[in-house]
Amino acid sequence: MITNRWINGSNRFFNFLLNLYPRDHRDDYAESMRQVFTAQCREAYRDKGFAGVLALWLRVLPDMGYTAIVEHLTSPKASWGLMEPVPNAPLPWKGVFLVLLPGMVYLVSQVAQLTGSPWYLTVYYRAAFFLIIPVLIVWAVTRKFPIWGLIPVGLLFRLVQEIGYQMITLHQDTFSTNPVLNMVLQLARLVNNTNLFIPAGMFLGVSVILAVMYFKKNPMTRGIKIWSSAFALIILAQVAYYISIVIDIIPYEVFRGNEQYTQLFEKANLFDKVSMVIPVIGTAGLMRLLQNNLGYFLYQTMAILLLIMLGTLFTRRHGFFSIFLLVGYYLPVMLVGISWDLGDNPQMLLVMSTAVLLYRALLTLIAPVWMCRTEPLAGKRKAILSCILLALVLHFLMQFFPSMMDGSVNFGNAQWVWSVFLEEMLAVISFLLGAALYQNTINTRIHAPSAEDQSMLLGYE
Amino acid sequence: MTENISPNQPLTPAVFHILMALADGEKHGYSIMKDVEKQTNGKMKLGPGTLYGSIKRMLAAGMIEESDERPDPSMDDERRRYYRLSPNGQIGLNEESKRLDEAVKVARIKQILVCG
Repeated sequence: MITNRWINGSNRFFNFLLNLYPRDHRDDYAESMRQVFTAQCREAYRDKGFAGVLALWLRVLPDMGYTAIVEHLTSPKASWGLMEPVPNAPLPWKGVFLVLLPGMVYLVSQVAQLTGSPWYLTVYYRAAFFLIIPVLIVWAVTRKFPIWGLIPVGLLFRLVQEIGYQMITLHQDTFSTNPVLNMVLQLARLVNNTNLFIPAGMFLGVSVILAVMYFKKNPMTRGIKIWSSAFALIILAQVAYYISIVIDIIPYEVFRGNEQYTQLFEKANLFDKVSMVIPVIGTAGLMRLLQNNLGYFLYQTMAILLLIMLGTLFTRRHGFFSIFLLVGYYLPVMLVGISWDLGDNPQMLLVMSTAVLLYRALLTLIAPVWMCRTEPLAGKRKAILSCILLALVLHFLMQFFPSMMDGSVNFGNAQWVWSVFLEEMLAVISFLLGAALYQNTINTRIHAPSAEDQSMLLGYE
Repeated sequence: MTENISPNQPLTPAVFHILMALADGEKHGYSIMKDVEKQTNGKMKLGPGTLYGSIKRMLAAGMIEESDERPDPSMDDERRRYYRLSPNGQIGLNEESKRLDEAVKVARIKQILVCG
């Protein structure tokens, strides 16, 4: 049996490198790997001497590096694990920590906003792009989408949606020396800045395709029917709201300077207003005004619908946890309706800071921890929906709080309250629709529901 | 190699060649490695990480089994672990061989691979 300092040294270094693997893998296979390497090393030295050992190391080092990463990422016991689906079981604490990370970035940056530091907006616009990088690396290496990648995907979706809107409407004349970015800008320029109906229609089209795919494999439950109808109704309510807004602003557009006509217009009902306006600006003019206002609303709403439907692609692996996509989407929402100088009033600053931190904590800490650590599906659903509801109530109240306190805006403005109410309702219904879709997939595909889940489903649907 | 291994799905080259190596009878890790090298005319040299990562996943998928028997304890290191093909692994090997055979037939029809 050949042995010399090259072989002994190689064995010692190999033993050291075995520490790169997770403990459970080492416990099972370190001894076998050591034996194989020793045999390979002896053979390499016997055949080609030192050069043979060197060539062996050139093969073994990348192999060990790659497989050590893979074992860490795929072993549920390993510290970097958590790639395996956990549709109806408590997530280990290390997984909870990873799920919390994206939210923590926003929580910390929110503190910066409250202290007047400008880097909040930098975080707001950059974090989503950076947070998705580890998710993509892990996905590429393991070919399994990690559960802690769901919130970053929701965040990225929101940012892409916002940046897409800005590129379409605000930066029509922007050019880039980067050919890829310039190609994206060219595509954005194809969409007329008043015609956001095109991307909205595309979002709707993809959502319909995803819905068809979903219903081929899953039944239409009562919950899905109720919440998809509610989603459609809230869109109609928003459209009606925007039409009334547009009709109300028309006097300033077309009857400017004609006091008598304006007064007559203000007293008329909606149908009379329309009949007064059309002879002046024409049907095409009225549609143009409606288009300007409705375009962004439909762009935003159809994007949310698309995200909800994209979530159905993740349910096979992550079950009800797909709802984290929506948590990610709503995570960076600006909380306060009207900006005002916080420095002037320490009491208002305290109230607002508490509200903002509570909102972020509900979405970034309490909801994920509660949901991750609760075992039955009913508990997970209760956890996420309670937190979302609380956060949205807080969001609703904070839209009015600053202006109520400084008296700059009349709280009795029904149009404003209605607008905020519809926006919050859209968020609540989005979550309920998402919950109905993702929960349905779990119950039909992944496992039979527990008695507790069945009673919850009967009560819910 | 990180995907779930199943007899019904296409196998990775490493898994396929390990199953081929075990088709002759039970073998230990180094012997599997040498067999794979021989099967592929030295083109595939498995490292210890890839070998035992694949073995771990194949054991989990029930495609191979660990054997308690030793050919001759006096001639062999008793710490060595031997593996053998399971019925599930045999099915997987057959299915993959058929799939590759079909692919070769198509390659010949399309004159990508010339008979000879």
